[in-house]
Amino acid sequence: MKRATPYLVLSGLLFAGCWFGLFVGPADLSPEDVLRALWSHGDQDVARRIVMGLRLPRIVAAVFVGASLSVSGAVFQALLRNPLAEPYLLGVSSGAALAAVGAIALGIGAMGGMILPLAALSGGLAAISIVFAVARVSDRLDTRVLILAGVVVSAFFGACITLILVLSPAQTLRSAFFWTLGSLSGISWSMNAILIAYTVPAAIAAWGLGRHLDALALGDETAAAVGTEVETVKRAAFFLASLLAAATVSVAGVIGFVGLVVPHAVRLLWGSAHRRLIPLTFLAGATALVVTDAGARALGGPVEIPIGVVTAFLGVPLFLVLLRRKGGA
Amino acid sequence: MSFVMNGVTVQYAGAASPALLDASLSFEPGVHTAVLGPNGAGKSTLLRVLLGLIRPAAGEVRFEGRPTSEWTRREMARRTALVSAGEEFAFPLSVQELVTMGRTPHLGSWRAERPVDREVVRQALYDVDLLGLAGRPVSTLSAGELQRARLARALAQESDHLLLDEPTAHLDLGHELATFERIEQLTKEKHLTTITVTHNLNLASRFSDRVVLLSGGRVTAVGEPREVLVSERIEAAFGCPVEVRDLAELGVLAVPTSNRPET
Repeated sequence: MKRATPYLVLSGLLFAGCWFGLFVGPADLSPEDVLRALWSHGDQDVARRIVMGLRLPRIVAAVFVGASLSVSGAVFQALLRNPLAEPYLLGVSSGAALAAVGAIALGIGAMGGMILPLAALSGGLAAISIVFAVARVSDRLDTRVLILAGVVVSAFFGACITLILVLSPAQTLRSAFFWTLGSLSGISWSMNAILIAYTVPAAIAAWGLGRHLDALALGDETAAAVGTEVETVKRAAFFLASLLAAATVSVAGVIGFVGLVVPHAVRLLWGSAHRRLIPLTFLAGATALVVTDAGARALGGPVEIPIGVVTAFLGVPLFLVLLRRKGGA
Repeated sequence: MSFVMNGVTVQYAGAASPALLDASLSFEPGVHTAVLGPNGAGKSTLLRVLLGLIRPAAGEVRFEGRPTSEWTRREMARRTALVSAGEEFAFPLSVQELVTMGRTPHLGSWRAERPVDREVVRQALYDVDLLGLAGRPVSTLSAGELQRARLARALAQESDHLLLDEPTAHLDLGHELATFERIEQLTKEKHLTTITVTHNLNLASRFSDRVVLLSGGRVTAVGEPREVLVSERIEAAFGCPVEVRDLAELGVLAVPTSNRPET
């Protein structure tokens, strides 16, 4: 019973957050409107169009983006043996952003709904492939080289993005700039389908690595001695965490601090055993982003503040508090 | 024979000389072997190559008759346990969680812990006198308690081969003695193949059945503690003059007689 408590608490909060999110927006809907919209058929109903076409896809995106970023952060932290690692550290976001900004600048980004996310996904995966190739020394993955390679590749791609932005006309600049800030608006059901198709299997596979991630945290030699295939697990962890991050960036852009703060907070509350940490982090990350997004929309009024800015405003103070409490580790 | 190594040479990338050179040794159940030698003699390398954690450049290592390269890590971890010299704790961890990691080879990736796993962990904690500290964060343990917790993790693997790399480093006199007594007792009770790397010549001579002396990657002597631990051999291996006294049931005492080692 006691072991199930955190799962029940987080599921309850997540459900409440999603329900609250359905009522936030310019149109005032009653609970009856929302329930009718959820269960009825036919597109004549205005409430149904608002709920099923705008609010629900946004909430679903927030659930899977928040969950994936948080699980990605938890796995990167275990792989790099560093509680301060986060999903974008190794270049996924900059690769995805470069591909997306490039697509916008070339004009092909505006051509269709799915082109931009797919370009971003390929960009993110290309970036991590470069980082992986650099960090693989004689068939072993050196996690220190991994961090250095990731940071350097990120910096290079960042410079490329700046160059494109400088050379672009004002209109392109604006849409590209907004993309790099991260946003949950305008995410369609088909984008959600891609997001879910990538992230749910990856998160389940990451859960399966849990026991091996525990062992890996004690060092390669101990991990191998308790039966972990160290190099296989490191590679799997790297690709799963990168895939999770890349999929979120491809639909929602760069949303900072969720992947750093959520796993950190879950570790503090319920311990570091990854078989528990990963599913709890999934729920906590989903809850955090759904609530943050709904709250920001409720308070922001007509101007939509990019979600990446909101998570930074909330995440940084929260993280500093956690950091002080733990004395730096 | 548990482990048999034949003409094993290990060369680390970038190292000028091999860490282990043409080493041929075998180890059998119920025998506690102490591995002695100066820093950099190849003691830890010997443990690693026995477990298949590194591949020899030449020669062959067999475990239970099969080359170690043919064993998967999981199969190996069900039969062998290692208490390595250094370990980092990147995240907060309880003693219980640390010891439960020893169940990894029995549980694999997906299986949840069963009552039998919890019982084995409890027994392992009992064996090292840590039952009362099961819920404590590892970071709050003393060096001696931590060393015992790591020994408990190795015991929780329920393997019949126990390899220990300096299990008494940083331990005081009393804890060092208790650790050696416990290792010796477990070896006999559970009929383990035990290999202990240590710098304590005195306790090694008292609590082991056999001593392997390494120097510069070579096996310079193997045999009963009193045959191996004589002044000429120790002097040759460690490069400093020693005086050796036989203390009967308390083992052999080797005391360096000069402060200026030649190396």
